[in-house]
Amino acid sequence: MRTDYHNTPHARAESAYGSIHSYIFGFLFSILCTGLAFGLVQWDLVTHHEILPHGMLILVILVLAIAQLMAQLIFFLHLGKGSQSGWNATVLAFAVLIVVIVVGGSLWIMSNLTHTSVEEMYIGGVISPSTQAD
Amino acid sequence: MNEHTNDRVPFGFWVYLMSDCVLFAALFATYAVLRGETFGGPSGAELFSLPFVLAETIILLVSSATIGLAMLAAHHKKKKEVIILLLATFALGCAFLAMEVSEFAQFVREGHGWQQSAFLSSFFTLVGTHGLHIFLGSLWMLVLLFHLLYKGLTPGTRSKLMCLTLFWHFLDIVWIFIFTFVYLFALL
Repeated sequence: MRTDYHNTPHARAESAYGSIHSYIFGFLFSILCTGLAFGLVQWDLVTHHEILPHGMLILVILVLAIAQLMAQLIFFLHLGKGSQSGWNATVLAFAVLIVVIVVGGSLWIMSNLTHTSVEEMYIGGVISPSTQAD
Repeated sequence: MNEHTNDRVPFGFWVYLMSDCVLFAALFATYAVLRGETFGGPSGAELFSLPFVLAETIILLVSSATIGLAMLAAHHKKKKEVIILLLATFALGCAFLAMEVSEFAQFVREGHGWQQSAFLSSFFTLVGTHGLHIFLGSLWMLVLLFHLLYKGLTPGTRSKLMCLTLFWHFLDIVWIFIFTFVYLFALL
């Protein structure tokens, strides 16, 4: 961008709203990510889980979701543009921190808890591994 | 209205969206913990139809693009275009809601309601909360359409449209994660 023009209110608003190109690019990229993730899972089902190792497939699908998140943040929400962008990014970073703590923490604690309580029940003779049908 | 207030309104709304993000995080965490607890009922793999959910995803994605274009048209002061694009977004939002309600109704009809298992309770809460947001967003869109028709493109209506656009894009982002973690992961 030209620096002399960049600081006028009009130019600032223009960059904050994005352009038609940014929407088209963001849209096509999102469609591509969604289609690819869907195709991989469908293909995995058809070939009975033989296209990729399980962990690899989960990783690829996670990467596709995060790529789409980044694309939408940049091309739809225009993060990093506009006059309040520093504050917007700060609030977003804080929200991401809370999300990671809440989701990661819950999974971590609950998996430990299930593990311990099931083990205690085995030891106490309340249930045996064979009664755990599922 | 001066430039200052115009900048502050979307920022305040952004702070609200991020707190909404935390709400969804709690629901995602609940779902992630309870997804295996089917209590003898069906699991996600037996219930979900992936092509149906893909159609929902694409509808929401297209609506996210149309509302973005409406915002762009508002910036170029093309009122008629804004109204047409908002109507298109509204129609897509309604189509999405109709598909989601029919999916829920089918599950309940087959006896797999939210009272059957912890997995289904958390599924209905998470996806239902997103649906409720879409419903409220659609209502908001309708009200904004009347505002636009009667008041035209004033700084006030533009700022409302800006917030609605942020809200709608945010809901699309939440849906990406529902599509990935709830639907795709269930079938892996």
